[in-house]
Amino acid sequence: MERNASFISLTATEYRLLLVLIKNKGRVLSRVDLLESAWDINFNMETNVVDVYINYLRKKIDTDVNNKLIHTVVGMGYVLKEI
Amino acid sequence: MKTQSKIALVLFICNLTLVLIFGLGIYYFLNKYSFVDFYKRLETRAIITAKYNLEQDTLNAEAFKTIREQYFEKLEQERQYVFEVNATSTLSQAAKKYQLPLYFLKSVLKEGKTTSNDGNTFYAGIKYNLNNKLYLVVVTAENYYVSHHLRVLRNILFGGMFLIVLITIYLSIYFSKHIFDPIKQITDKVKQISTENIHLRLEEKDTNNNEISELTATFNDLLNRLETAFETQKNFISNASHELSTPLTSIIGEADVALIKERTVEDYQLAMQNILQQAERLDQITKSLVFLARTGYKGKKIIFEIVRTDEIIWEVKSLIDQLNHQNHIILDLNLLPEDEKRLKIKGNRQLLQLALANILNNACKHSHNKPVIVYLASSDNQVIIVIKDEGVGIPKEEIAYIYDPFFRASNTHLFEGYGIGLPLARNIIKLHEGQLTLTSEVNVGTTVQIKIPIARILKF
Repeated sequence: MERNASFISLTATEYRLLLVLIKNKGRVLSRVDLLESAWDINFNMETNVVDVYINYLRKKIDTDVNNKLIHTVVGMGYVLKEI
Repeated sequence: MKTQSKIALVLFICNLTLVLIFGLGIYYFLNKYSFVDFYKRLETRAIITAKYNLEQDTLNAEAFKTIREQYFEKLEQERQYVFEVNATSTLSQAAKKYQLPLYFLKSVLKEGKTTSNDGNTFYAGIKYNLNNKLYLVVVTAENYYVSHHLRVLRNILFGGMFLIVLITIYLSIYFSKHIFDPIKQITDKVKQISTENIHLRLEEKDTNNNEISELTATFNDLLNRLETAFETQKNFISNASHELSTPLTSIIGEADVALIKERTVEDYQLAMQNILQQAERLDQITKSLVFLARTGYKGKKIIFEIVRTDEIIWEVKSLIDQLNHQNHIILDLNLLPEDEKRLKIKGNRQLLQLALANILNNACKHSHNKPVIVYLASSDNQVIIVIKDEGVGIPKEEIAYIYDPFFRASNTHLFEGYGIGLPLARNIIKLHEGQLTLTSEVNVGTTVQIKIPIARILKF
């Protein structure tokens, strides 16, 4: 992964999550949506997993930059906004 | 030379040397003192003799005579000579006349007074001037002290030394034997223990914490470990040969039956399929064995890299999902740390996957695909993975053997497997400097806890 010409390494899970966000950029995705599309999990699993991985992802791609990509929509989910 | 006799000899020589030094010292100093003492006595006598024989004053002479007779005991072979030395009677004449050594008389004349000895005969002489006449007074006697007292002393010393030597020899031998007695006992006992009776132990005397009891304890400890290793080896061989011979027997049987008469193509295909199945099983067992052997010994080159434990768990889960669609693995990631660095460990991806897959497979298998919960968390310095199933559990008395290769608990005969997975997983976790602990209760479930230290990295 590259952002602003700096190299960022992601784990497979983080990469899948980012891919889903990019494919649906501009759209608010709920935690359940993300869980199903990024993990293909169809049984009950705590949705905080999404929060944890969004957090990891944010730390990697959104630190030290002014225009953040991943935004939290309170009560709804997450959205990747275009710059 | 045995240590025992060496110690005896050293003790003996030391004692003998000390006693010799002591005895010789006494003899030497006493001998020297007796010389000095005797010369003094002879000198006193010479003076008195001179006074007694040469003093003009009769009264004085009488007094000296009385002193001499009353207070001086007669010395052995005591002789007194008083003679005048002048031009007519020379020293050599006197020496001849009185049988005195000439050199002695000369030295008396020269020095004024001198002492000397010739063997046991001692001489003391003084020069005495009276009325312008020169006299020499010589007293000679045998030193009874040397000739008699010292001889007695010498005999006593020699006798005592001989006695001491005897006692020393006895004591040295006795002590050296006594000191090595317990060691000899231990040696004899250990000699009796062989592979046949390796359960035998040395008798531990709890009297005190000396070196001997420490040695005994060490030996027993060693025997314990040896016995365990021996038992493990025995079990391994019997289990391994059983596990390996079962598929082989099936292959041989299947081929044998197929070859009895001519059969249809379908029959042959069926037989070949069965043979293939058994051969694959054999292959799997040997492969696992190779893995186990490889992880059992350190020093083999295994490439370690920084890996994320959560990723490995995801990978293992998808792997198991492919193989066993009925599995019911739940990942509980509520305790995942805020900082992803705390999920990173130094490890080998393939080996860790293998270990976790083995444990998860066991959990699914032995619980008939009931839910298996996997917790992942991390403390300050360790990543903690807990795998909890609701399976058949392991009987309490068999928990001690679960890490023995090929061991299978008594309640697992309904499940397929050959008892390599858990020891392999444990070896792998150990390779990563981690710990694998297992608690289990029959018909309630088994919990496996894995702790692996977090990689120490500053920047990546």
